[in-house]
Amino acid sequence: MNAKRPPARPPRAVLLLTGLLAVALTGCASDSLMMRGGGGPIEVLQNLWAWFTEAGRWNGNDGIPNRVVEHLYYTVVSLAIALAISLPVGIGLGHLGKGGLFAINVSNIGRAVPEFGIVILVFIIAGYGELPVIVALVALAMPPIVTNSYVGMRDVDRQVTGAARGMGMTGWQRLTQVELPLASPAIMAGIRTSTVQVIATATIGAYVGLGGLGRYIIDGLAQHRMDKVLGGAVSVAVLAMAAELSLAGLQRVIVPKGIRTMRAGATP
Amino acid sequence: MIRFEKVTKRFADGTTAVDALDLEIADGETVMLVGPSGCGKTTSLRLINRLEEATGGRVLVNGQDVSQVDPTQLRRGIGYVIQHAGLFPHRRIEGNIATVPRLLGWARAKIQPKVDDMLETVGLDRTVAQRFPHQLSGGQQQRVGVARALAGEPPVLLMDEPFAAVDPIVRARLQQEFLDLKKRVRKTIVFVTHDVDEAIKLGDKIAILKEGGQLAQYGRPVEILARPADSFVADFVGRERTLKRLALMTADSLDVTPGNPVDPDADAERVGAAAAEAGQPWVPVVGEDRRFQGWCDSRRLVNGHTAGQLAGGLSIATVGPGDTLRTALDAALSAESRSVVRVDAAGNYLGVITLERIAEAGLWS
Repeated sequence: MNAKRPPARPPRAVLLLTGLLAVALTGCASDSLMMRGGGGPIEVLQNLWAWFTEAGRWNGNDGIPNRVVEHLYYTVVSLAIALAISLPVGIGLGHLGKGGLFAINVSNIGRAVPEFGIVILVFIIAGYGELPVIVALVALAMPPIVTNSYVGMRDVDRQVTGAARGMGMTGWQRLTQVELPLASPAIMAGIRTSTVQVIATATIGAYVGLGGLGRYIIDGLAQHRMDKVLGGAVSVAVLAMAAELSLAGLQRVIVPKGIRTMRAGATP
Repeated sequence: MIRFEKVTKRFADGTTAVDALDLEIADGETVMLVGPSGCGKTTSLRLINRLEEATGGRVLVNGQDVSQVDPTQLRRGIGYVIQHAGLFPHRRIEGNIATVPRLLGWARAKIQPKVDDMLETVGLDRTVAQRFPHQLSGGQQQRVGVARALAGEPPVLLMDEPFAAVDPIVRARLQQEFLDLKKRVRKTIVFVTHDVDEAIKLGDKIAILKEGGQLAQYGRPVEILARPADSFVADFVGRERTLKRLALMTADSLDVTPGNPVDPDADAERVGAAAAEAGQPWVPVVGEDRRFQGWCDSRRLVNGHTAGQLAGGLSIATVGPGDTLRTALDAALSAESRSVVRVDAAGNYLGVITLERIAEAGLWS
């Protein structure tokens, strides 16, 4: 079998350690940024802990639970819209084997334009509200889903689809019973990438006066409070990793066992 | 029965893959489509189950023009085996074999026994049913491919270079199994190969195609070897090589069948009885001196005539001690009975050698 493996991702533990190191280093540099709540690495972590355990941190409008709900709201809405557009486009074009380059290039415009630029642009046109943020996040989420689902569909072994056709499967049966199961690892990889990016980027909502975990970062920067900025950043990172882990679990359920074991390199 | 009537396939880029092909494949026959690359053999095969559409002429399966049948319904009734098996990697072996029965909407209770039956038919252990394709060897995967193609009980089986991707030892085994299999399951089989030896070994008939999709010759393997239509066919089948080999082998070791000889005075009734017992219409006529006098066609002998009156003519060649397989082959091919009489050193009748026997000994060894 000549199945292609998806590009290797860095192990989650490495990502986590890198993140914590970055947090500590940023904290150490905060003195030069004239911020409170900074200092040496130990002090930074102590201040961070203090921030997380402050009175009122876990309830009320500015409490973490409410901010997480807001954050997830932007994420889920944006992803739902992005999926509704990108999956049919990527899967449909991949099934037909046409127009893929065009679709990938168009969706990649979303990558080329900075999200912050889109937010400001739509803000100017449509004014205050969720719309600018949602538009920016949808533009961000689409390219990985379109590209991965298109490539995943194209990479399905032509011998296998040819056999399916020769045995009398209809186009719909080939799509649902053969191509989608075989492309599911690639499609899921695209969705996971998009999800992590959207969660990390949904912080921009706070720039235009909305909620979400970005609130802590924006407000922290304005108030020169390093502990608050770091607290927000760590919360976003934890949320992103939680989402990534849940989707990894979902992928285990969705991807058929025969493909999982094949990719794991099992031999007779 | 499958019939090609002036079938032409021209691709959009202007190349002609199949050019006015006429071909008739009888029920239960295995026909090998063989030729150099670009001769349109695979395209011809794919025209049968409409994986390709003819641009001229028509293809008939059991008297029905395939272009008038819904392609998916047509394909569910025609088994299809391809080079790398093309098994579904996400389905277990039993799921793969059950594909067409499921598409046909069979009851679950009917599918399970069919899967077991098919595994047995292709010589696989029932324990592989729960495995995934990537856990099987190439040869095993190809067997599953055949099982999957046969599970829907199609009368017709199309095989597109099924054994080309496995190593020579496994291929020889699969070929032998194929010969056994086709005796057990009576299917009309169209088999594409680029390997002439495989075509000669496995086919009841061979269709040799030339570049540009033209039929160069169509006939039984021995006929093509002995009487190639032109130099292209002769070169392609390696006729010289084969005939030289035959010329080096004696016919002495060939088995004879009694042939139920009759004497020249035998009437229609006796000849008919002898022919019925021998299972073929041609009966050798042997005189009292034990000399072979010729073949008598039991179907043409009318009442009031004797066997001796019909016998004679050109086909009185015999094979004696020391004669080569080449001599035997020529004699058998020139006789309408497609058999040759073996005689001893003194010229006495010993028995009949059939063309199949000669071919078996000389071509397939």
